[in-house]
Amino acid sequence: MINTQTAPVKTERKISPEFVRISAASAIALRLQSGRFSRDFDFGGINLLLNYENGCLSDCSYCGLARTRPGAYEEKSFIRVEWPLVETDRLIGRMKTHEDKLTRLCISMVTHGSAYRDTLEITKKLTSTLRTPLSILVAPPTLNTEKLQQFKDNGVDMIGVGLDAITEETFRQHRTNVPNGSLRWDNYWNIINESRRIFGPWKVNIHTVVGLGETDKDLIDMFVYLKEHQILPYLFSFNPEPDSRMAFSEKASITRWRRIQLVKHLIEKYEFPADAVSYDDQGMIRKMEIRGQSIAKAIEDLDAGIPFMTNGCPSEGGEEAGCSRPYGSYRPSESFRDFPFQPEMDDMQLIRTELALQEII
Amino acid sequence: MKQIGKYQVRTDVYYDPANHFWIDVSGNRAVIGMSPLVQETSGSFVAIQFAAPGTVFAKGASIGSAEAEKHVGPLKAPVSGKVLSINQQVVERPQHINADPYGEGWLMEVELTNAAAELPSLVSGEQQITRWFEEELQKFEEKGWIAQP
Repeated sequence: MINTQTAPVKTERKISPEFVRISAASAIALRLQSGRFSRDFDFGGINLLLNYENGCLSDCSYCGLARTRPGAYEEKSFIRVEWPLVETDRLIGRMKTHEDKLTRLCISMVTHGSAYRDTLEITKKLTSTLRTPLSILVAPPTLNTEKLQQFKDNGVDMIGVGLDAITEETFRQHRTNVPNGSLRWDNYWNIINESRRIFGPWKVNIHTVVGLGETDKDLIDMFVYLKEHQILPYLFSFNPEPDSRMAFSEKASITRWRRIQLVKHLIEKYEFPADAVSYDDQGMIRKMEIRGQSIAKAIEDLDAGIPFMTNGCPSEGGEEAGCSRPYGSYRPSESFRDFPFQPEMDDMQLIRTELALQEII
Repeated sequence: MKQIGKYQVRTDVYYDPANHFWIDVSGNRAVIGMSPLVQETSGSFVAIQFAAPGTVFAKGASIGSAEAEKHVGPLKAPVSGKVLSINQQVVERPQHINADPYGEGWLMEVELTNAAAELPSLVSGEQQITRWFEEELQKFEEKGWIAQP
């Protein structure tokens, strides 16, 4: 017999799957929140984030949602900005209203016991109501092969894996050997490989963060490896999150970042040979030899600013990023790390200065 | 204060129609702040910088910059003058602009140097302010900058 006096009182909890958080840019695009962007461009990549009272159980050193970062979960920023909390059904209704301008949807899981079940439920609601393609940025500790298959069977077309730290050593340093860390490198790779098998070529992407202690050589080797396996690397720039353990760490210099963007693009698109890059003792790019038949095309791309645009899951039938994360890893007052639109002439002038290609060619 | 749409709008001040500043004039001095419409559509402010006290500026010149989560822009002087003081509280907590644009979120106090020529080009008086604000509200709506219920 239940003692009603000691039974837990059911309070209204605004948690997933009934509620989700959405990025500030998504909230502006769907007019759930007033706001505007500094530059004028179309934006339709809607990012959803699961929400739980006790938040994400992981504790990655650079992440705004880290378990030991001070503050209540609801008040924590993620990639520097607030993520408004909205009722899932209201959000889906709003997305339906604005679907003509939507380009990509993405659910970001967090490491939590209910994350898989809730993501699947939200997935079913989204794919039964909307045509816009859906990605899931998965939390590998919550998944296995069957669960990934369930995502595919329910209409998810791309899987993202936030590997972030791209070497086993930096992964351990930032994600495993931290106060509440338990994420495992081999587990992440198991999910990456299973996702690749289930979803197919170029349907899985790996988030690769520049600025977590890896070398340029580590990054470039990873791009080559992923290309061989028909997996997409998506570049992110480490951006110090206030109050996180890396709050006072420096982000990669803009010059390093631009060069990595360029080399990655050349590798991905033009069979650029990895041995055309030589490195200094610290594993950072020292020289780059532009060669191969595709050089003219590569220069054309460079002129158009293509290598410096956001890496993100495409819109339906498109090649350009449907998910463009404006101001995701830089402040509006800083240079665009990745452009959510095609850079204009003035932007290209700045990019060329930042690249300082003459130093390495 | 007058309610226009969901906004409480002061009608006893001047407004710069181009940049949405309010200007509260008292003799040859004025306090400047942001209109409630522009503070809301800029989003949550994260950083603000002002020209130093003593700086002399012409109308339209930059007297600082304001950065929100997804937006950054210069603060263009609505009048010519000299910076007398800046709101240090807003520098430390820029969100004051969002929370209280007419009160704790004021930006700076200035000495007016060309008031006779410039004030007539600003929007003033309840009727003129109401019409201007309603038109601006509609423009902001059309641009998709304002949340829908």
